[in-house]
Amino acid sequence: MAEKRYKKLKTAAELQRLMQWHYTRIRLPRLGRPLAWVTSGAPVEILRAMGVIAVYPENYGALCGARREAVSLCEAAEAQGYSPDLCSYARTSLGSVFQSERAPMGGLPQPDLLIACNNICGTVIKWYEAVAAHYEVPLFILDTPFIHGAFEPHALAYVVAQLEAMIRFVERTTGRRLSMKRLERTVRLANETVQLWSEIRALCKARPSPLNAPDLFVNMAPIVVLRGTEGAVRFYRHLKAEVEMRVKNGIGAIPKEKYRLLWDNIAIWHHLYRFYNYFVDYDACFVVDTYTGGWSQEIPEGQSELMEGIATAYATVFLNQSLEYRSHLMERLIREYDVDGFVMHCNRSCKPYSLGQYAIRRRITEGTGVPGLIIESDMCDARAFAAEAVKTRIQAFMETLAERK
Amino acid sequence: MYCVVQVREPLLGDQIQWDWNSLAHPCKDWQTRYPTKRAFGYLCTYSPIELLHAAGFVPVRLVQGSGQVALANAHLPSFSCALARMVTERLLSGALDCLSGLLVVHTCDTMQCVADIWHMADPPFPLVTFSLPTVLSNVGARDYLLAELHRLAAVLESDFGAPVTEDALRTSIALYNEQRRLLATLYEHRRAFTVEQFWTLVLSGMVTPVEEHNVLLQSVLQSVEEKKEAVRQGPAVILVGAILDDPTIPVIVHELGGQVVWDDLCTGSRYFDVLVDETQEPFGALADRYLKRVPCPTKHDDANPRAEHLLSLVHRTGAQGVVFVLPKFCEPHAFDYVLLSKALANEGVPHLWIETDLTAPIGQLRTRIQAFIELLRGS
Repeated sequence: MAEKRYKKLKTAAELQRLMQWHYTRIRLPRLGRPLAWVTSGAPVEILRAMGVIAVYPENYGALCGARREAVSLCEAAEAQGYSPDLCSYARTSLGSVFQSERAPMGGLPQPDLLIACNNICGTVIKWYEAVAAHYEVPLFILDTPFIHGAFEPHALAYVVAQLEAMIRFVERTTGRRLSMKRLERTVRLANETVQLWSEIRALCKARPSPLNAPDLFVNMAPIVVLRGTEGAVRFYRHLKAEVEMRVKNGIGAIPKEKYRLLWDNIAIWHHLYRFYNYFVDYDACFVVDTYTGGWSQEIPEGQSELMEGIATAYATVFLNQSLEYRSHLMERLIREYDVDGFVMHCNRSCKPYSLGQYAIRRRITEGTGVPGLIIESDMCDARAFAAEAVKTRIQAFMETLAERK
Repeated sequence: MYCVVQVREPLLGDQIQWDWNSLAHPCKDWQTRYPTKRAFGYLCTYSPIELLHAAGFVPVRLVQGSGQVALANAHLPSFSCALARMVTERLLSGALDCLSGLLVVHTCDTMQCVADIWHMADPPFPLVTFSLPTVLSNVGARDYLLAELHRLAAVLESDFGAPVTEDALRTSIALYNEQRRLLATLYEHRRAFTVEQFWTLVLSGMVTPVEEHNVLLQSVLQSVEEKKEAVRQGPAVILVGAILDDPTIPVIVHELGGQVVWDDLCTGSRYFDVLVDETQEPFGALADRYLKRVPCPTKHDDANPRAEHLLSLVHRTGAQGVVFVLPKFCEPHAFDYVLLSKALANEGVPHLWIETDLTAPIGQLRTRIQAFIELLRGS
């Protein structure tokens, strides 16, 4: 191949430094600052404002997956009785807890407390229960009722009551107090991070798209792990400037963009570049996805009660809403990003994301005429990936798209 | 469902028969058997069936059953649990068309998804969702649950023309409490029945009108007291799991010389575990029952009472072992299995783990159960 299929971003080094610093810093002496393990959809602004250091087992799971070190950790969890059918982030995380000597960086530092929010799935409840039992540390679960229809006022009141309970829980377990001023500042920073990330993603409406799915997946780490910090804001400013330059100069993420695709679900971390390169071979670029857009909810500031804003932002995330909501959102993305086809990763690890994909695909294709491909695999467990079968299905799908052009 | 049990005829234990395949097919003969009654489907023990009943419906439980999955394959991936796939299959094939509505309670990720999948498949009846709190011990959980119960009552009135009055709700609560008491009594007298008869009596209550089932239970329990209960020997076990809608496993246990003395199953003791307080305001009383129950694995309770509950069942019933019957791809149960099996091991209680799916390999199952019972005999 004459041209490299993956065009590296200049900010890649800065991203690497930022994430390395995060993983180093959480291991440094913390001078009494408590450390919490939190889920990707937990209201981290409250923790940051209280001086609690947040680490993300899901991000760590993705990291282990991308380094192809997740399978041995999954096996360590399976040896303790955890079924191989369970979520591979959970198995990777529990494996790193049980056998830290096998784990990249020796696993995550031990938590002082745990915060899990079920706005992404029910798995996190059981996973964090197991971590809490192992380390004998307190666990708070923020319960965000699933929204099949509308976000009802009694659900809002319930989530607000829990946020208040969560603050009391953190105060009780860490001895720290929440300053509303610091919270407002953290929320402002988080919103700024979210805005920048949304703007970067929106730049991919350009033809050719300046970014492909692996770029989005690699660069999403700070929006999850460092949301609400100066470092994340700085990084996304630089990334945005670089992506804007690409758009201005007509530089695409892949050598030749003929097909524009939408991606649904978590990445196949263990085959991240290889997998998307199968599509690059057909001149297909993933210009938008549903997963990295999961961190695009700004917390309303100013007018309403801040706690209500936080409750609404976290309770109404993409994965906590109905399949119809998700179908509509994807149809809108298909129009806005001028997409030719969509690929859904039917992820054995993630039931809430995956079980409804057949219904969504049917609805979208009826609504837009755009075809979709469903590929069954797993985000971290490479044992569930059959490369040749996947390539054959991609080939057939790309032939369908070619006929439509 | 088609139950051969006829309440108008004198009932004795050995006359109770049951077409097991019909349990999963409540619509079969519904019109002829209950021409004036409207069936409302539900799946889980956290469904407020008293509300459905008070609105004039017969709550009918949907279970897994057995059969081929064909249509559902275009709606669900292979890693969905058998309950989700089988109910989807029957819903798509029209086998549930007698239902006037279907209530899906938010419990696990799978139920959350199938509620929407079924809704998007355009069934000939409306689908109603009910979001139970996941952390029942949470601050605000009771207020939220109460509001959700009132919302459900409002939906029954607006979308089904079936209002719920407080008086009707009190009557329904009393009827279901009676059923719970009778089932608890039946559990104490289970030795008077064959295993098939016992499970027939338990499960038929989930698919027949409660009034009818209560009469049936009263009648068989009356005859029990006159009968001498069979003394059974052999290792006693407790079954733990989700849906057990056919008696294969308990039958095998008995055939091999063991006995099931109690269970922690959604289709067993978890169906009747706590009574609703009849002296209280009825909506609040319903909410409180959910808060009082030992939570199922989809719920979180800071006190983590499931292990303690299982151990107390073991001690109370004198069981020597525990048999887990867990559906493949069921995350909540698979996670809890690890914590529960450790708690059992700490107390020196042996356990057997059985994973169920669409089909059960009976021969292998028998061998494993046999080995387990022999282990219990030796211990």
